[in-house]
Order: sequence, then structure tokens, then C-alpha cells
Amino acid sequence: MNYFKAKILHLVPVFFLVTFASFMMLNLLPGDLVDAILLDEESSVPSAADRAALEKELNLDKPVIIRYFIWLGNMFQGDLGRSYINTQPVTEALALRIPVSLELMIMAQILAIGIAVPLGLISGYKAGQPIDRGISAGAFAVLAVPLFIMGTVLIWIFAIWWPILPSSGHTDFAKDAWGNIQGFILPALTIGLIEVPVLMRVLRTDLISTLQEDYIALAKSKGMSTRYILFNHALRPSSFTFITILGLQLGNLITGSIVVETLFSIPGVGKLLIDAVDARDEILVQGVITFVALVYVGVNLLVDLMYAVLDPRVAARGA
Amino acid sequence: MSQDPLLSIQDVTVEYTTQGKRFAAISGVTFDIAEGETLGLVGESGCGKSTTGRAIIQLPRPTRGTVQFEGTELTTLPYDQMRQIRQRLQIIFQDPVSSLNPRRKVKDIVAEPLVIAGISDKAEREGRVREVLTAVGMDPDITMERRPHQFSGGQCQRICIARALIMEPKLIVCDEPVSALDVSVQAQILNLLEDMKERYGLTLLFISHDLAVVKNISDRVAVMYLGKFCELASSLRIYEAPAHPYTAGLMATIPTIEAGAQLETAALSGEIPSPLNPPSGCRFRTRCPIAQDKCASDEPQFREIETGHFVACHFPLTGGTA
Amino acid sequence: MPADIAESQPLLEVIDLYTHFDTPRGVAHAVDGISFTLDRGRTLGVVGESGSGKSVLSRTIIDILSHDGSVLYRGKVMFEGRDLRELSQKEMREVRGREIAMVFQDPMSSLNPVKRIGKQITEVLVKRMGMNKASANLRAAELIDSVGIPDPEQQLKRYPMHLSGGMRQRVAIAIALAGEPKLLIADEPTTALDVTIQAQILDLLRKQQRERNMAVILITHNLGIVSGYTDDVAVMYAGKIVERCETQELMNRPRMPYTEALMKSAPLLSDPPHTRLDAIPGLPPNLLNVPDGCRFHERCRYATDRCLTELPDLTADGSSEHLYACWNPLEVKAEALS
Ligand SMILES: Nc1ncnc2c1ncn2[C@@H]1O[C@H](COP(=O)(O)OP(=O)(O)OP(=O)(O)O)[C@@H](O)[C@H]1O
Ligand SMILES: Nc1ncnc2c1ncn2[C@@H]1O[C@H](COP(=O)(O)OP(=O)(O)O)[C@@H](O)[C@H]1O
Ligand code: SF4
Ligand code: SF4
Ligand SMILES: [Mg+2]
Ligand SMILES: [Mg+2]
Repeated sequence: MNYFKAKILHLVPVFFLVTFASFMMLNLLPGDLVDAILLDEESSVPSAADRAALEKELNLDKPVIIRYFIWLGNMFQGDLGRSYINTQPVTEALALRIPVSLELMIMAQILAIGIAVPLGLISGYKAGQPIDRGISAGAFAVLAVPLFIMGTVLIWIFAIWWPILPSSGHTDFAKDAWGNIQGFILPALTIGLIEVPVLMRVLRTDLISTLQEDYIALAKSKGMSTRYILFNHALRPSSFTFITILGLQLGNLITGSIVVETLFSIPGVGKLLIDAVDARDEILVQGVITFVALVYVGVNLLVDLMYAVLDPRVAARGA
Repeated sequence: MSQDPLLSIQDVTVEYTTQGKRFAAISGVTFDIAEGETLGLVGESGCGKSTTGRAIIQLPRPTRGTVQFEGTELTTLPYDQMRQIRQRLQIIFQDPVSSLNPRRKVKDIVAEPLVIAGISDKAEREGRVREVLTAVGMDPDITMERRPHQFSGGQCQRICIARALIMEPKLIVCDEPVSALDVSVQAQILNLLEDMKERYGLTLLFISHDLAVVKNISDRVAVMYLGKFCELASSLRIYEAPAHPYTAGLMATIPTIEAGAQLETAALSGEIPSPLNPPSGCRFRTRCPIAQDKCASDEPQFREIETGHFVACHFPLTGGTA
Repeated sequence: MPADIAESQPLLEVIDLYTHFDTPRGVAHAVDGISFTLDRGRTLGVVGESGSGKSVLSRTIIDILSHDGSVLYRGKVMFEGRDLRELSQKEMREVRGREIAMVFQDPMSSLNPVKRIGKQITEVLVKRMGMNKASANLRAAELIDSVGIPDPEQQLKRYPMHLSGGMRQRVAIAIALAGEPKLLIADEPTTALDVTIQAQILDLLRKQQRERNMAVILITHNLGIVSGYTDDVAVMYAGKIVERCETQELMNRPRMPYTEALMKSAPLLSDPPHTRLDAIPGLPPNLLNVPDGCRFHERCRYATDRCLTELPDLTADGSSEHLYACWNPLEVKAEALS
């Protein structure tokens, strides 16, 4: 258990650093929010009194450090503030969008893993042979394609040329489950495919060295089948880098979902962020960033947990 | 021996911390090495042989105890003076290949101690490198410009020996120098060490887990178990009349050509206990065939049972025929 | 085939076996024309220095080297009258574990670090012996017990990292015994262990071999082990067997100069301190580039012109079963004959 305590202690500062840095940056950005809001509401030039009142309301008269701590205190009570623009609580906005993004990301990960693991196993097992070279060549080709192009190509193939899947929009899961899933396939595939080459390559590399190990020779000498050896003896010890990359790619996944949500018009957190930035809704932007930082910390913990599940030696070493 | 020993170790303890627990890798180790002597150190893996060797060169400094080399106390010596002394105190490691920097040429590897010692004359350095390479049986013309990976394990060990010899040290700690080598090459290196000892007037601490090898090269032999010395005697005496049950057991278990088919049952049963949690009293009692109640309660002292023959056992064997 | 013929037939007969590796730097002649036979219940020692081809030989017999074309094979491995090299991969899987099992050199790396001990034993029992889970667990505990590990039920739940090197090697032996093989190949099973533990493991192997009337190929680089634990011996040098006979015969009357040199180069406990060792000059040859003639000639003190060009065959004097490959075999000493 010490192992996880240490990990958590390690990640807590990360969370504070991210929220603090983003808070500072948003506040030091040029432009004046008060002007923006007041100009939006009235056509006449705002009076000094109006400005002062609004500044007080938004705590903008206090130093930025104090504002961060006020915000932090509120956050711990589950209050991320209200949107400057439409006064909707930030938590409420997030609550509406999170399930959508989460479903997208989880599906993207499932597709990425589902495609990368078999490909990695085959090409690691057949390293150097034609099938491995073919897979590797394909992987490098995919690696060269930007996310945006990938999405467009997929839309073109599966929505226009062979129209079996919708190219945009979002259906509520409760209303139409299958329609909901269908709507996610293309966007999730877009993100997933982009991740496949790296995942597949690291699995391939680790597998090649695992297959050199004596315990694989021992498994062979027991008369186990190749398939059994690959899945039951070799996969787990070969998946460390794979899991690490999966965690590290979370950043890409979030960027990816922003692009993809925009491209496929999916009302997720990414789209919320883009809209908030457009509207200069600082408090909302800050809320989204906080949420992302939390997800990041959570996923990293999950990755560490996975290490310990994959290899009992990890937990023992940390103890 | 009438004159002062070259090296004198008194009551040395080295502690390490593993898994948050502090434990003594060696404790209360005491011995001398006379000038020109070879002291062999045997024991099973983890018993503290390397730790003892490294305590001499102060890597790391012992937790307790004193180490005197040529009359100088090393444990309290300032770092810069210790660096001077290290030229006279060299160490050779078990894995010759990984103890040589793969990116450097052999001539630079062997000359390195000279550079550190501030000998800036290139011609002089090269002359000495040639001399010492020739001494260890390598052709300098072929060897000097090459890099370690172009040599076999035995050749790399020769290069390591050359590097250790170039400062003309007094004492060399040889930490399992032949354990990684093939039998046919091992004999070459053992012979080479004997020759170099003669030629350079060396004193050796020779560490090994192979009793036959240690007997061959040493004047005196020390046997270690779980961080402590069990027995110390002249090489001949310890093989003729081992007094500690562990020494006797070790000897009975070595498969040699002579022993042949007589080997029927393992003389020592049981596992080596963890040094983090050594048994009370005599550390060997969990595996000792003649252990008594006293062995669990009282720790045996390391005492002299005949001239120059030390043993740490309540019931030393007298069965040795001498 | 009548039963008595089956009995008189050797268990394993290796005939002119070659295993070459096609590497970027050339072809490595790791196993280069090896023949020997092994009867049921006997122990054959294979002794040689590192790189002489011992491990490749064992991996070729049990067929766990790659088949992707980078390894070139020739020759026959007859096991109970069947040529294993002719079997399909599927048929060969039936042989591995059940007929022939293997124990590897380093128990730290030959057990899967992420699988429980129990699982590593029961997978043989379930997948190969057709047992159900419950009886496999019982049998695994029995096996663990029979290799001298205390607390069998507890051990099954542990991971290899919890065990010492000697205990792991015991587990590896239990795994090998699980399929009740007729032949056990042990590739330097004690090289990575301490001497006192080595003796325990060798004793355990011998006990199991006797109880089960199993044939064993014991691979080692230590002539002392050969002399204490084997019936017959084959000495390997640079991919070839250079001498083969009963162990006692070899110890008393080595005929091949390399064997003699090996014996003499190891220090003996009975020698007084500072006895000069009879070292073998030079290094074992590089298998990418083996010398012409006798492969030992560059290091042999008896070499003559013929040795430089002609490769000696493994032959015997008259009807003797003592085979050696040398143009100038050592004389049989008069006292040894009496
Ligand atoms: N730097 C270190 N930190 C913690 N423990 C250590 C350290 N170095 C050695 N030890 C422990 O100290 C004990 C003695 O180790 P040492 O290396 O001296 O043994 P050794 O007799 O040389 O063994 P071997 O034959 O395996 O080389 C062992 O239990 C080892 O695990
Ligand atoms: N997979 C491989 N590819 C190329 N060469 C190999 C391979 N495996 C072994 N060899 C070579 O075959 C020779 C014999 O190796 P091995 O049988 O492992 O020796 P040992 O007698 O020490 O067990 C060595 O020269 C080794 O480098
Ligand atoms: S003191 Fe006791 S246990 Fe220790 S070696 Fe002597 S007899 Fe054995
Ligand atoms: S054939 Fe010649 S070189 Fe080879 S071992 Fe015999 S005498 Fe020596
Ligand atoms: Mg050591
Ligand atoms: Mg080998």
C-alpha cells in the first residue's frame, strides 16, 4: 500500500501546479473581461461605477493570488464558479458534457487497444518476416496522417462513399442506444487509429525481448501452444511500455477529442472548452482545465495500479 | 611475522539499508594481510565478500571499525588524501567486460590511472602502457588501438589487471576475478596473477566462491558466512583440518574430479538465511549438523585454537588428521 | 515391434546432427555433426566450455529454436524409434513436456516472474496431462513436496520473486517432472547457484532420476559434476563431440588431449597451494570461423601437421566403446590398465 501512497503524494503537486499555472495564465492574458462582459450587455460605454461593481462581484478587485485561493477553496467544496457569460454553474456545464467525452475516449481506447494488441503480437512474433514488415509499413503510414485528415478520410469512406455510419451529431444514449454508439464509431476510430502505430510498435519491441527470455523457452519445452504462450506467458510481461504510453497519450487523447468533437459536432468537454475560449469565459475554461488535470492524475494512478497488477514485483519493490 | 602488516582491519562493520531496514552486511570483521601475502576469502553469495573488499578501499566507508594501510588510518582520511592512497590500493572485478568502458580504446583505459595521477608526458604514459600490457601477455601493437568489445572475457580480464598494475600498487583486491571465465582461461589468469605478484611484489586479497581456486592461490584462507568470519588459517591447514563445520561442509560439497562418485548426499542441508534477519547465537546453527542448544543462545567468539588458526565455533571439529 | 526390441532400442539416438545459425556476420556452426545414444534410465553428461554448443544441442533435441529460416538443421533425432525432426509442430508439442522435459540454467529467469508458482506447474497438468483443476492442484502440491520444498500448499500461491535461487530451481524441476517425462535435459542446472545449494539440487536430480527410471542429459562445464553424477559422458569442443565413453573410463583414461587439458587446468583441492596450473593456451575458437583440421589444434601440445588440415573422426580403438576424435591420442598408461 505504501507504493500507492507514494504515487498519490507524487501526483498531488502535479494537480496544484496545473491549476495554478492555468489560473495565472488566464488572468495575465491581455484584454479586460469586465469590458468584454459589459460591452456585450449594453451598447453604451460602461461607467466606472458599473465596472467597479462587477469587479467586486467577480472578485476581480483582489490580487490574483488571493483569487486563486478563493477559487481553490470553492473547488474543494465542489463549486467551480459560474460561467461569466451565461451564469450557468461550471459543474453543471461539465456534468452535461463529461459523459459524452468519456464515452468517446473510452471507445477510442478500446478500439486502439483492440487493434494494437493483436497487431503488436503478430508482428513481434513474426519479427522480420513479410507480415511484420507489412504491418510496420502500414503503421508508419498511419503515423504520418494528421488527426484532422484521418477524420475526414474516415468520413469520406464510411459516411459518403459507403454510407453506413453517421458523419456528425450526437444521439442521447437513453433514447437510442445503438444510434448513440453508431455516432461514436467514426470519431472514436479517428482518435484510436492515430494511437495504434505507437502502441503496436512498443508492444512489438517489448514482445521481441520477452520472447528471448528463458521462461518462454521453458513454456515451449512444456509443450504449450504458440497462441497460449503469446497470450498467457508473453503478453503481460511485455505490456509495461504499452501501459505507460497509454497513460502518456492521454494528453493526445484530450487534444484529439477537442479536434474530433469539433469535426464531428459532438457536444463534449472539448467542444465546451473551444466555445469557452471563444467567449473568453475564463472561469469556465479554468473549470475544464481543472477537470482535465483531475482526469490526468486519476489515469496516472490507474496506470501505476496496472503496473502492480501486471507484475507483482512492482508492488513489492515499492513497499 | 615480525614487521607490521601491510593492511590491518579491526572490527569492521558495514551497514546498508534495504527495504527500509538497516542491516549489517558484514559485522566485526578483523584480519591482517602481511606484505607479499595472498589472503583468500571464500563464502557463498551474499555473505559479504565484496563488501569486505570494498570496505578496504573505503567504498563505502565502514560504519564502524578501523582500516589501516601502511600504518595510515583510512576510515578518517580526507577524501583527497584517500585518492592518493587509492593508487596504491587497486581493485579488480568479477565481470571484466562490463568493468571496461566500451567506448574507449584499450590504451586510454589502461593509461587512465596515470592521467589521474597527473603524469602528463604522453610518451612516458605510452611506454608504461606498453610495458604493462606486455607483462599481462597482450601484444601492445595489436591491443592498444582496439576497444574492449573486440576482446574475449579472459582478454578483458588481462586488460583490467594491466590497468590495476600500471600504478604499481601495493595491494590489489581481486573480487572474483576468474568466476566469469571458462575453466581453460581461468587457469591462465590464475597463473598470470601469480606471475604479476612475483614481478611487482604485490599483496593480494583474493575473493572467490571456489574453494579449490582459493586454495591454489592463497597463503592463508578466510571463510565467511552471513557477514562474519568463521575460520581463518593457513591455506594448507584449513584444508587438512577444517575446524568450523561450515568449512568442512563446503569442502565436502565441491564436486571435483578427485571426489568423483563418492559424492552421494549433500553435506549441508537447508537454505542460506537472509542477512536482514540472521539467526541468534551462531549464525550457522540453522544448517549446522552438530549444533547444540548453546549455539542458539551464545554467539561463538572468533578465537585462536592453534597458532594462526582462528575459528568461531563452540565445538570446533578436531577430526582433521594432521 | 516386440517388447524386448523396444526395450533394447536406445531411448534417444542423435545421428549426425547439425544446427547452424545464419547470422549477419556469417554462419555459426553451433552444433556440427553430433551423434550419440542414450539408454533408458542412464545419465549422460555433456561437458564443454561456454560457446561449445551445449545449449544449442539441447534446444535442438527438444526443438525450441526458431523455424523461421535463420536456423539451419540437418540430421536425425530418434526418440523411441521416431525421428523428432520429421514430426509436425503439433506432434512435437505432444513430445515436449510429456516425453522430454527441460530444466534451464538460470532459475531467476526461467520461471515466469508474473505467474504464480502453482499456475506454472498446473498448466502442464491441465493442458498436457488432462487433469481437472482440483486434481492438478493436489498433484502440484505433491510435486512441490517431492522436490523438497516445505509448505507445498502455501508455495503454490507465491510468485518466483519470493523464492531463493535454489528453491526456484527446485520448482523448475517440479515443472519438468509434472509431465512424467522419459528424458530430462538439464542445461547447467546449478551454474547459477551456490556450491552448497548446487550439491542439494544435483542430489535431488539424481534421486528423482532413480525413482522414476528417467534418462537424464546433464549439461555442465564442470568435470567434477560429470565425475560425480553421470554414467556416460560426451566432451564437446567447438560444436563437436571430441570424446565419448563411460564416465569412469574418461576420468581414468582420457584419450583426447583437450579432455586431459581440461582436467589439468582446474585446480585440485589435493594440490598444495601455489601449484602452477597447466593452463590451456589461447582461446576456444569462434564458431563463425572454425579452424581447418582438428578444431583444437591451435591450443594442442600434441598437434602434428596432419592435425592442421584433416579433421579427425570420432572413432574407437578396436571394439572398445571409448570414442575420441584425435590423430595422436594419448597413450593408455600402463598402471591404468592393470
Ligand atoms: N549497496 C548495497 N545496498 C544494500 N545492500 C547491499 C549493498 N551491497 C551489498 N548489499 C547486501 O550486503 C550483503 C553482502 O553483499 P556482498 O556483495 O558483499 O556479498 P558477496 O559475498 O560479495 O556475494 P557474491 O558472491 O554474490 O558476490 C548482501 O546481502 C547484499 O545483498
Ligand atoms: N540464436 C542464435 N543465433 C546465433 N548464434 C547463436 C544463437 N544461439 C547460440 N548461438 C551460438 O552458438 C554457439 C553455441 O552456443 P551455446 O550452445 O549456447 O553454448 P554453450 O555450450 O555455452 O551452451 C555460440 O557461439 C553462440 O554464440
Ligand atoms: S557454534 Fe554451534 S552451530 Fe555454530 S558452527 Fe559451531 S557447532 Fe555449529
Ligand atoms: S588431432 Fe591433433 S590437434 Fe587435435 S587433439 Fe589430437 S593431437 Fe591435438
Ligand atoms: Mg561479490
Ligand atoms: Mg549454455
